[in-house]
Amino acid sequence: MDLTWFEKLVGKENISDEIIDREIYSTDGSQIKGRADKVIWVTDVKQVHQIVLYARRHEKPITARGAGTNLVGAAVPFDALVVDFTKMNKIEAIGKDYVVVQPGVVCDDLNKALKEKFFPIVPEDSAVCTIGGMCGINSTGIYGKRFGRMKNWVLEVDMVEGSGRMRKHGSEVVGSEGLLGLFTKIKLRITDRIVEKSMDLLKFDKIEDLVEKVSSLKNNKEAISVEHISKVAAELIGLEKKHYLIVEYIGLEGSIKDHIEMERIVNVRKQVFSKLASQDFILMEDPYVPTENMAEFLYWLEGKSIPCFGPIGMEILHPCLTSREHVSEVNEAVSKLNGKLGSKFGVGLLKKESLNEVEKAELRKLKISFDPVGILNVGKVI
Amino acid sequence: MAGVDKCILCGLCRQDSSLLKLTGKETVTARGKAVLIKKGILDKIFYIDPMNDVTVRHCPTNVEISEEIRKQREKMVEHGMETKANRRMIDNLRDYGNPYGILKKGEIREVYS
Repeated sequence: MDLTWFEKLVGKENISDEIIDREIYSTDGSQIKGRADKVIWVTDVKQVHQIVLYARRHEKPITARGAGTNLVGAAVPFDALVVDFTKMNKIEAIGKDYVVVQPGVVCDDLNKALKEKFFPIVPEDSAVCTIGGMCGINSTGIYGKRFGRMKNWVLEVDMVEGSGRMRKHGSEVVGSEGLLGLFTKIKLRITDRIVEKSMDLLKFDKIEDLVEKVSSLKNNKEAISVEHISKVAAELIGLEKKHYLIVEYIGLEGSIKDHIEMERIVNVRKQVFSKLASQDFILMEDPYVPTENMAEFLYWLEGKSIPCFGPIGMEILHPCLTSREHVSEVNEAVSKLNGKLGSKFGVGLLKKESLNEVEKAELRKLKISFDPVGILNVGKVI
Repeated sequence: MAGVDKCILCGLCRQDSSLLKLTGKETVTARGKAVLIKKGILDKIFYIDPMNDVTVRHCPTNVEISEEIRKQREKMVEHGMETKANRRMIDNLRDYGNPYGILKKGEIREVYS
């Protein structure tokens, strides 16, 4: 591969085939090891376009990368050019009800810039994750119960498709995990910042009581976040041994209205994974389990002493495991309970079994029309 | 505080790196350093100030990467090891009187100190 060609395109400082960069960019939050051929830090759409054309001509795989926090290996390259979007991080326009951003903009940075407005998809890793990456996996966030997923908030994306064609698309390409094209500009819907909030911190001894409360909150539009910490997790992180529900409301429905107290509770919730990870529960899964089977799943987890937490109001939980050996066991339990794997972090390399053959066939067909040579994110999803 | 083997590569340390905002490159983050230490690629580690930009406040597994860098340095000293960059700097100092080697007029070279 012609390093000089890339150097002319992006500048010497923005291309590397040095071992240090190739090692670091060969992996992501999944800890799966791939192999980066070169790392390119792009700064504008023209560069992205030229790189895709070059890669197509030379049949060289490309893997797009935002913050590299993906937990299912979506950003792991296999002999690929890693196209890193960290430097494409400009907020191009802020309108009354929309914002236009480059894909490398960090979620929290966007919300800081929006001031009285708000982009409501806020993942747990919002301090580092990029809008491009969030579009790629159709992220949801802590307020997902009320605000849904990225698909609900993306108005338009500019994309360099694997074919080299540059086109605008709607939200239909959100969640394509880098298989169809590289996002270069994203127009997002925004809303008003939530001014008045309140909270309930509820403790339960019995799983049935917890699940009943979750069911009763299901249709409550004011409850924007319903988070759970299991009894096993609570004990491990030094809380009283109970099942917890943390319910955040728009408005004053909740019993806790003091902002400092609410912030304290949010911080406890935010630190659950950190504290579990420091005790070797380093793998976080993301199964969807329907509310009617949630109690059974929680009992199963408790029986196995698997700590869990997460947005139970969205019917998603995060069982935390010490090694990948236990993942299949969890997957089996989820499947038996009509649940679905990979409901939050994407499919990537690790959750391919979450798609059925019909879904995969449709995606393959779509990929051929967008990326006929098959250079984008090879080996992922399908 | 935990050792580098506890790094789960989550990338949350990106928010603690002011140098990442300037360079856009993972090599300057604690995660980047952890990958290099794990792989035994120490050239860029050896010359990093352990307190410079690698103090991590948001690590879920409490990896103290600056301490890890110190440990690696100690090991290298104990075993009489040196990095390629170190060897090159010593050779350049001997041959040219500066750590960079032959410099064209106005040329600036990268050096880790």
